[in-house]
Amino acid sequence: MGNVFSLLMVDVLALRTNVKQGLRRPSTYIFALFTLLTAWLFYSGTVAFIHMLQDKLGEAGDMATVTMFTGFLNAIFVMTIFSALVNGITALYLEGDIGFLLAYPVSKGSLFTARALRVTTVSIWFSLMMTIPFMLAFSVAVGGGGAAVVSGLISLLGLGLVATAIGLVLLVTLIRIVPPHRLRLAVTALVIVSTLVVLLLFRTFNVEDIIIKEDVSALAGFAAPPSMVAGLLPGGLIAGMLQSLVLPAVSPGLGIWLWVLAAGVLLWIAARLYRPQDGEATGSGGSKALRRPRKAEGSVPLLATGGIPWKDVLTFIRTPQYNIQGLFLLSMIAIYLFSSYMLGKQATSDVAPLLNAMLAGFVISISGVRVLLPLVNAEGRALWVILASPHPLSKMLGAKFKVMLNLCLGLAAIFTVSTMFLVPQDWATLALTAGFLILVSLVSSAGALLFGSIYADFTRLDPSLIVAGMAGILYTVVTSILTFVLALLFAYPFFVSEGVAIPNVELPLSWEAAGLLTSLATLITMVFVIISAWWAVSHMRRREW
Amino acid sequence: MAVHRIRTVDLCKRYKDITAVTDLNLTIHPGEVFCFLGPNGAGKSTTIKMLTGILRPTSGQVHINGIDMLGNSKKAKAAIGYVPEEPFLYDKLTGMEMLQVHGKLYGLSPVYIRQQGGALLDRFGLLGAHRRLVGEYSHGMKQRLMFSMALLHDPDILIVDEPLVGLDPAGAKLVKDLLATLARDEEKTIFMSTHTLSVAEEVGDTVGIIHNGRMIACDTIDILKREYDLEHQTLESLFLQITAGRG
Repeated sequence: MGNVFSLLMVDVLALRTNVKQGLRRPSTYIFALFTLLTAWLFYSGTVAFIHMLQDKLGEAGDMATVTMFTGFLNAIFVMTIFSALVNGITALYLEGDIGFLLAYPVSKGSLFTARALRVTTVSIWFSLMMTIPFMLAFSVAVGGGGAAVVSGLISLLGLGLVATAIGLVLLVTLIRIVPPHRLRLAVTALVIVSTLVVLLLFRTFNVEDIIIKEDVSALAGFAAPPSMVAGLLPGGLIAGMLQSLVLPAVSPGLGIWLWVLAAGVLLWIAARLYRPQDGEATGSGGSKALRRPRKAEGSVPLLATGGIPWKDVLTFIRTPQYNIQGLFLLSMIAIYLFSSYMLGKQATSDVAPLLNAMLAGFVISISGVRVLLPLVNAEGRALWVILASPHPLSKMLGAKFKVMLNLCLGLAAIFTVSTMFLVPQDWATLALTAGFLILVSLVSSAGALLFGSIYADFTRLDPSLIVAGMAGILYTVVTSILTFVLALLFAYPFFVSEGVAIPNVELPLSWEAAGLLTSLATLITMVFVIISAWWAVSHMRRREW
Repeated sequence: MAVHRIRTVDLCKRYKDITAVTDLNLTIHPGEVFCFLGPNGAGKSTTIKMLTGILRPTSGQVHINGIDMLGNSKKAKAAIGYVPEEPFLYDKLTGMEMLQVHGKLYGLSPVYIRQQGGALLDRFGLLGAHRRLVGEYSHGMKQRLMFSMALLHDPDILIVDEPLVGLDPAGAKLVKDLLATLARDEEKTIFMSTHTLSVAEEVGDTVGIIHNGRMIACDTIDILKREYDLEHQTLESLFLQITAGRG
């Protein structure tokens, strides 16, 4: 174990330095305040929503709350498995210092333990930050008091640990059994399976049946107790444990701790299976002399060659870590298309197009954290090539922004076209959907440019580190809020376009007012884009290289 | 046409409490090989970063071909080819793609990049590897690729930081010959920072010795040797004598 602590020292010291540097920046305090405010908004919003369900629906409301909470935790559980898989590839196999550490009298078990702890921390802290407000809201809502809050928070850690252990054992097994040249295919298959699991869990989280139909049968179906399998997943077990504090009839759901025990066993197995030298197999790490020279895979013949966007696309195609981020994007598209298809079945509803646009907007915004955010950092130590050239830094950032925006607009185009088929609507509504998605694309790209520049660490290339760091959380918070604001501003124009009254609100419908609101949304977006671009450029210029 | 290729006036760089470079005044002419020497941490890399426009000076000026680096960095940078000490490149690009990115940043045409790039890769023995990923190159190959990049846009000035580190004897000879040829036949100015004093003695016209951020000696090797009464000694002895006892 002595070795493990020595190996972890590197991470601890790096973290200490990052925290010290972060504390010196005034922007950190502004963003921290912003994040706390957002967490409080999420918390109070969730408490209000749960109380509304309980007041309006009584016992059925309680059941609906438990189902939603279970679905949410299970979705976080699967996302954390996925995250551990992505982070593990770099930490266990591709990190540049692996070969160096193997020259030390360090056992591979110690190396695995140290890196597994790093992966666990990096993979779960982001999920925890996102989940804590909901966990607190649920704990308060079930009436368990302080005991529920403490149990809930501790069990969240357990959930993260279990998910990471599953991710790591999957990764290590995969790399042991799959031939090196098939690794990419194997990871793709794994991501497809994960996507299907997420889709299934996503459906348990389906709220639109209640909102749209408002009928008892939909509610009964939604609020039905979770199936045997869903109930045995960590989300269901945690919900059960918290309920049992106030409802003696409910089983305490201590199965979550059996899961944690199983995670220990899984990690033990993974440590036995781990071979650090398998990094060779991925074609990215280790000694070059041992590898057979190969021609580079992939080219982009249709694009003008030589520019920064061209370089970024080539790098994206050829880097396994980025490939996995891309697969994440594909899984998000799959989730959107599936949900959109289900939504399309509610064609009688007037709010379906609005919900569809909001869903697509959030998919674009969330995808950005994995795909767009690491783009600035991707320059790595080779940044000198640009710094020493006559190419201004602002142009480099401009090129990055274009790549991000084109990616988002590509997604927006896919979503808009699929909307035409999946959620029937007229041309005016479709134009509103497209307009909304364009604005969300601008917000996501500008957010990724801003936080990707401010928190760029050009000494570390691993995209998962910036995703799981402060940049990731701030990007998610800021772009989610802005996307929500844009959705609110676009809601009225959607109602005008559909020609239906806004539920529970006495407001006349007019195209003039709709135009004013869309203009306001555009103005907010443009202001955010300009501020982000200015801030990113001035921050990069001030940096000492 | 400026008579000097590189000129610095009272160049200073401070990092909070630490002064990395103080009042550096340099003038380097066309066809001159200037060797920049100094112990570790003396301020060599900081100076090079200021000359190449990567780092903004705290005060003072850098003129490249008579152009102020701060006033018109685009034009000034276009006259420089830079080979940094550590060969950090885009590992997922091939050798030729690396040249294409570099050439595009300098505004060169694709046809020129292909022709000139091919010739340079051939000159540095990399033609057979131009379709391989840079990440698979050895240290020496990366070093030679960086020389190809630095010369692609045919700069007037070549700034090289420790050019021989990681090169095998054949590679080292190639680089030494190249530097001498570029200065003699093409009138290019070479600014070379190095710890390999034998190389400085072999190819250098003038040397500058920096210590604790200050230039403590700057002249031709012969004059400096005479000045320090070391006419029959090596540059190494001269360097050790000049820097000895300065902390």
